[in-house]
Amino acid sequence: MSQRTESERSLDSETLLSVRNLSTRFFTEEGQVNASESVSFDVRDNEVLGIVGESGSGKSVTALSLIDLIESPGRVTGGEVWYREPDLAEEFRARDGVSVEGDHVDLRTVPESVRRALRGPSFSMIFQDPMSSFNPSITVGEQIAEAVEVQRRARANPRSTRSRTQGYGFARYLVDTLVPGRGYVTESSKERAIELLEQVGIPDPAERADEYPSQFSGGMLQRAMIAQALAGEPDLLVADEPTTALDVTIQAQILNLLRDIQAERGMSIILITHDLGVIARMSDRINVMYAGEVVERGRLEDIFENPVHPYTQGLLGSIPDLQNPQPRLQPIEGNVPSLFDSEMGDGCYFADRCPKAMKSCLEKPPQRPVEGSEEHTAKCVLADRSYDPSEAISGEEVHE
Amino acid sequence: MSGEDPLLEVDGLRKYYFEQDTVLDRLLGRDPVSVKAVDGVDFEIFEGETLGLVGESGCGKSTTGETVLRLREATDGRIAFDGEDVLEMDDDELIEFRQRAQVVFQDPFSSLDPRMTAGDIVTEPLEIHGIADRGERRERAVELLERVGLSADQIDRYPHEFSGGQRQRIGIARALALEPEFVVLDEPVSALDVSVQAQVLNLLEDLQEEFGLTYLFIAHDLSVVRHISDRVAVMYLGEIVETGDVDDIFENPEHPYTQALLESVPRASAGEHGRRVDALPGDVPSPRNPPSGCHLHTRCPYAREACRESDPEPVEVRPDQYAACFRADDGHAYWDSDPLDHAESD
Repeated sequence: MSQRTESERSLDSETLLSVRNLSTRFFTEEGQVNASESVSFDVRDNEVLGIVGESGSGKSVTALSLIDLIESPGRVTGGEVWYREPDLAEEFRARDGVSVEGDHVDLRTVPESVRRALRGPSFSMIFQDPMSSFNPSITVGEQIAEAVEVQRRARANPRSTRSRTQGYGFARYLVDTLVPGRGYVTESSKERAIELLEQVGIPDPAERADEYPSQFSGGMLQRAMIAQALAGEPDLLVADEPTTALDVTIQAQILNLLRDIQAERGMSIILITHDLGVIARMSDRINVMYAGEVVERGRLEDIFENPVHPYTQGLLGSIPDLQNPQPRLQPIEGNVPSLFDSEMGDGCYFADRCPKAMKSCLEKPPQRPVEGSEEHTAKCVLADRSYDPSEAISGEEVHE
Repeated sequence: MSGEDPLLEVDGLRKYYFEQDTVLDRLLGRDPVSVKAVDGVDFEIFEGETLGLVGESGCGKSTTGETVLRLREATDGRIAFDGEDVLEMDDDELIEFRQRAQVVFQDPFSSLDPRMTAGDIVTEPLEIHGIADRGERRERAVELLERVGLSADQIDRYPHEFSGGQRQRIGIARALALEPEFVVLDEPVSALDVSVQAQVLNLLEDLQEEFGLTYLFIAHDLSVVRHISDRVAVMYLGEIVETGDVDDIFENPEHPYTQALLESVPRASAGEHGRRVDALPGDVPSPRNPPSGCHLHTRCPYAREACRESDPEPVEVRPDQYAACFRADDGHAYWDSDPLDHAESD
C-alpha cells in the first residue's frame, strides 16, 4: 500500500470540498497564536463530517477559515480550499494565479468577492448561541426574509457585492438605520421566509414570523437560524456546536431536523462539537482535533472502536458511560497546551499529557495510516507500531 | 439506610417569584404574576451519600439547591438539617449552619472575585467566621490548595491566571475550608471540557470519601449524574417526577419524562449512529403558566384526559423508587380515560 500524504490525494468527483494544510494564525500583541495548523480533510457529497475537540482545539477557527470569516488580528496563512463548482472552474480555468483542477477550484486563489459570493448559495453556517446570533430588535421573519432577498439578488448578479447591498445611498442608509432590515423585506421574500420556518418545524409559521427573537424559546430560535441558513440553498452547511446551548430533549429534535434536511436536500454538513455523543449519532466520518491539529481521523467505527491516538483514547475514557458506569473515570492529566507559537515547541503537542510518550515524540509525528481501515489515520508514532515502555519519557523531559 | 434519620429532609418546599409586584403595579391594579420555580418538592439526603438532582434548564433544580442553603428565602415548606429547621434559624444559628453546609457554583469564571488571590479566596470563609488568624489561614490555604490538586506556589496568583478546571478546584477548596458536612454542588463540571471534567469528578469522589461529605449534586448531564450519584431525583417544571436508587432510575425508569430524558441522551459509541429519538415533542412550557394536572401532559406520549385534570402523587414502584405518574398505579382511573390528541393510545 502506498503512503497517502495530504497533498497527494486526488480530487474525485464525489468530493465537494477538500481542505488541505489550512493554517490560521492570530497575530496578537502578546504574540502569535497558532489557532489551527495544517488542517486537511475532505467533505463528500451527502455526508456529515464530524469535527470533535475540546475548547481551543481549533475546530471553530477551521470552520471560519474555510468560509473566509476570520477577522483581524487573525489571518489564514496558508493552505488550499478546493471546492467543486464546474461553472466557477470553467470561468477561472485560464486565469493566472487561480488553481483549477477538473471541476474543483482552490478558493484561496480566487478574488475575495468570489469567495464572498459563495457564502449563502454554497456555504452556510449555524452557530452555537441562537440568542446572540439574531438581532433582538427585528422580527424573526424579517431577518430570514432579509437573508432570502440577499440570496435572490446574489443569484441575479453573482459577482457583484454591490448588487446585494444595492441602493446604499444616504437615503437608504437613513431608512435602514431607522427601520433596520426593511429594504430587504419584500412580499415574496417574506413568503419564502414563512415557508422556510414551516420546513424547519415551527408551528404557526405565519404568526411566529412576526415575533421577536426574545419571544422564541432556545430550540425554536435554533430552528429559525437553520431556516435562515437554508435561505441560499447551500451545498454545505457548517454547524458549529448547534445543540450545545439546548436541553437534551430539544437537542434530540434539532439533531433529527438536521438529519432530515440533509437527506431531503442532499447537502453535506460539517458538524463541529465537543460532544462525542452528538458526533456518534450524526457523523459518517470524524476528525479529532487537538491544539490546532487534526490528530486522528477515520470512519465512525474507526474512531469509537479502534482509537489509536492516546488523546482520542483519553477523550473516550473521560466520559462517564450512561449504560455501564465505570467505577472510576480515566481523565487525561494536565491542561490544554498554550497555542502561542513561542511556547509550542517542535515535538508532538500532546506529548506532555500523553501516558504513552516516547523519545520519538520529541519530533513532530506525521499523519500515518492505521492498519485495518482505508480511511483511518493518526498523527501519532503509535499509528503503526506499539508502545515500548523502555523508550518512555516523562512530561518534564518533553518540555526540556 | 432508611433506618437512620436523614441529614437533610426537605418537605413541600416551594419557591415562587412574583412579577408585576411593585407599588406602581399595585396602583395600576395589576395582579402579581407568580413564577413557580419550585412547586412542592420533597426529598431527603442521608449522611455520606450523593443525591443527584437532574432536570432541564428552568426546572428549578438550582433554585432548590439555593433555597435549601437559605441563599434564597423559601415561599413555603420545611427544611430540616440534622433535625434543625433551617427556615426557622435566626442569624446566629444560620452562621453555624453555613459552617456545616457549603456550596460550589457552576461558573468558575464569575464565582471567584477577580481581585482576590487564590489563597485569599480559599480562606475567606475562615476570616468571615473568625476561625483563624492570618498566619494560620495561609497555612490552611496551602493545605487546601494542595488537597484539590493545585500547588502551594500558586497561592498568590489571581483567578485569571488559572484555567477553568483549576478555578473550579479553587471553588471546591473554598467550600471545604470550613470542613462542612454537606455540600451543594450546582453544575460543578458543566462549564469544563470533558478531560478536565473527569479530573474534577474524580476529585469530588476522593474528597467525599476522605471527609465523609454528603453531596447534593445538581446537573443536567445524565451521564455525570449516573456516575456520581447514589440516589437520583428527576425534576420537571418545579416538581420532582421520580426518585430512586441510581441504578433503578437509569435501568428501570418508570416516569415517561425520565424515560424520555434517558432516551434523548446521545451516547458516545459507534452503535449510536443514525439513532432517531422522537422522545418528547414541543417545548418546555413556561413556569409562569404551567399546564394543569400533570405538568408533562402537553408533551407526554401517554397523556390521557386524567392527566389534564389532576396532578399525580408519587407512587412507590419499586422499593425506594417513586414515580409521580398515574401509569404506575394499575387501578387508576387513568386507564379508563381517553388519550389526548397528541398522544398515542396503548
